[in-house]
Amino acid sequence: MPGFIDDQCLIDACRSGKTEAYGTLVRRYQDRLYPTVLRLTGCAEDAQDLLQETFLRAYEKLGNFQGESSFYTWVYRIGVNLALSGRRRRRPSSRLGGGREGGPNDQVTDPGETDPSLPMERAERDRAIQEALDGLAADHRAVVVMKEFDGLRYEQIGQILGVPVGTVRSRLHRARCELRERLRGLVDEEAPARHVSPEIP
Amino acid sequence: MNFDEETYLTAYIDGELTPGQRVRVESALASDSRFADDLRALSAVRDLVSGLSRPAAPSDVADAVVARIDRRRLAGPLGLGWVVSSSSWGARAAALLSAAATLVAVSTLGIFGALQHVPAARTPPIEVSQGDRPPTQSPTSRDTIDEVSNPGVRLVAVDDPNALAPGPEEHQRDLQNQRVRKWLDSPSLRKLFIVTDAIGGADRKVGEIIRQSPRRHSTFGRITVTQGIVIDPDQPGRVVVFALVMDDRELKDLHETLNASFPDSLEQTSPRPEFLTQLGDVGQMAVHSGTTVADLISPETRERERASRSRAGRDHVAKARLLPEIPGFGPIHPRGLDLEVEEPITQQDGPTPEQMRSGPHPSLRAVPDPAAPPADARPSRPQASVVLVMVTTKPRRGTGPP
Repeated sequence: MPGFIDDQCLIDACRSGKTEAYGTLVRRYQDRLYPTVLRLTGCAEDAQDLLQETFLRAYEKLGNFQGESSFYTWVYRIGVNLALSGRRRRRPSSRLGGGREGGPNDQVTDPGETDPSLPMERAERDRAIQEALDGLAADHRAVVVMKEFDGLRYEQIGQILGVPVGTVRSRLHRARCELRERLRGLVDEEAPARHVSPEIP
Repeated sequence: MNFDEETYLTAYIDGELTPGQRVRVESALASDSRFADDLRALSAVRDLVSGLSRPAAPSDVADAVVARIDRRRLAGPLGLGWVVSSSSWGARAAALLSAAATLVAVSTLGIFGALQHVPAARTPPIEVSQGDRPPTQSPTSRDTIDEVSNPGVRLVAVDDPNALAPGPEEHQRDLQNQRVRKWLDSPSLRKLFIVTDAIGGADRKVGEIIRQSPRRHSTFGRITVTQGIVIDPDQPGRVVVFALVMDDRELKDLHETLNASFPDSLEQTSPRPEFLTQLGDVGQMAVHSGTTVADLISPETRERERASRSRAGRDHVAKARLLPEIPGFGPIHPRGLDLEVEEPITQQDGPTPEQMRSGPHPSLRAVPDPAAPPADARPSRPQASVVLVMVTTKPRRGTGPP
């Protein structure tokens, strides 16, 4: 790919003080990371802040990056851990799903906040699912997002969260069971037409 | 199924079961339709979440991140202008803004502890370019010569239009800076000399004293804390701190010299940990070379050594250097001295091949790393420690150690 500079070259440039190289790295991965932090925080504004903070934290720690994983995996870990550390205070009135803490006068967020290109029905569905996610405990929500949304393996999730695979499995099961209750209507729509085939590792 | 076994349903959906576990689940699914219903529902949940939309990030994220990085680099840890490291030549362009930004930042940002609202130094942020090679850029009107350091050290203004990208020497200087900064964390750092400079120029004089004091480890750091940053309430104003490594004998000599030069304005105390931490964070570091014991070797002796080693034909050795005994000093073997900068040693100094093969020459005395326990338990070997000499412009307000 003509003109393409690999991540390591950009990282080396960053370490030499060329911050514009870091801008290239951010542009390369921001769209990949943003949906994850959006689903973890449930709030577009918080997600945007968290996204910036993640990349800033990664820049600060760039000297520690050893290249044992890909740069994106490394940044992903930082983002997830930041989201879980509760650094972002949830804003119930602006949460994508409305949120449990929201009061009666809190308006559902502008559908465009999720994805302006979505049809209304799809946007409403997303909002309902996000609201259910928001109702989960933070560590359960993280496991669900990392597994369902990002497709990580249990072992990868365990490494990022620092928990055993068994814990990942149990948290995920609990989270799915809770979401099943919260999203009963949508689940019933989905479930009848389904033939379950287990994923092939 | 108990709960733990129920979790196998989730793992079954995700393909995370062992073959044996999969068989158990499939057997349970076949025997009880409730499990099949559960499986379908959990799979539906999986698909609902995985089907959530993936909006793109706002388009200005990268620019915002880079802008914040640049602001932080300009502002420094205390929100004031600070010198970019000598290796980050690429940030010099951004540092052009720091002079103006600093004045604003100092007047508007909050105080970290003892920070005072004092306009930052009017001189623009500068870097120290150290080296024996001639400068590759044409000097500007702001270039000055650091009289304290080696003649090869120049102060280069960051707005020098001919500033070049960092090279290996820059990287080496950065490493040296980092190493000297680590001295501030050394547990052996217990001595702080304070020179009160009433009439000006004391920092230059102290620097010259340090540079000319022969010692085993000649490298020393000069840390300048610019006006406007107060890291010790008892020492307001601009301070210059020299950091060096000495053994007890060398320290005694230095103390005597400082006392003779500043009879009424020298104080000896122990530095506070918080003082060291802030110094390491905010000070502008410059690393210099002073006078080594080797510099005291007569040309004839040096020639004898060179001839001896040229016969061996070895021109790259480890850190050991063989020197004749000099009263009061002895030879040097900086083994294990993390403080020493790695560099190839030419035939002008270094042990013979026989010495290398047999290990350190018996006459060599190891200078232990102040930050590490001594490798050998030789009671006669002098212990090195990190020493600070601070030059301040105002007398101490408090009494007792800082």
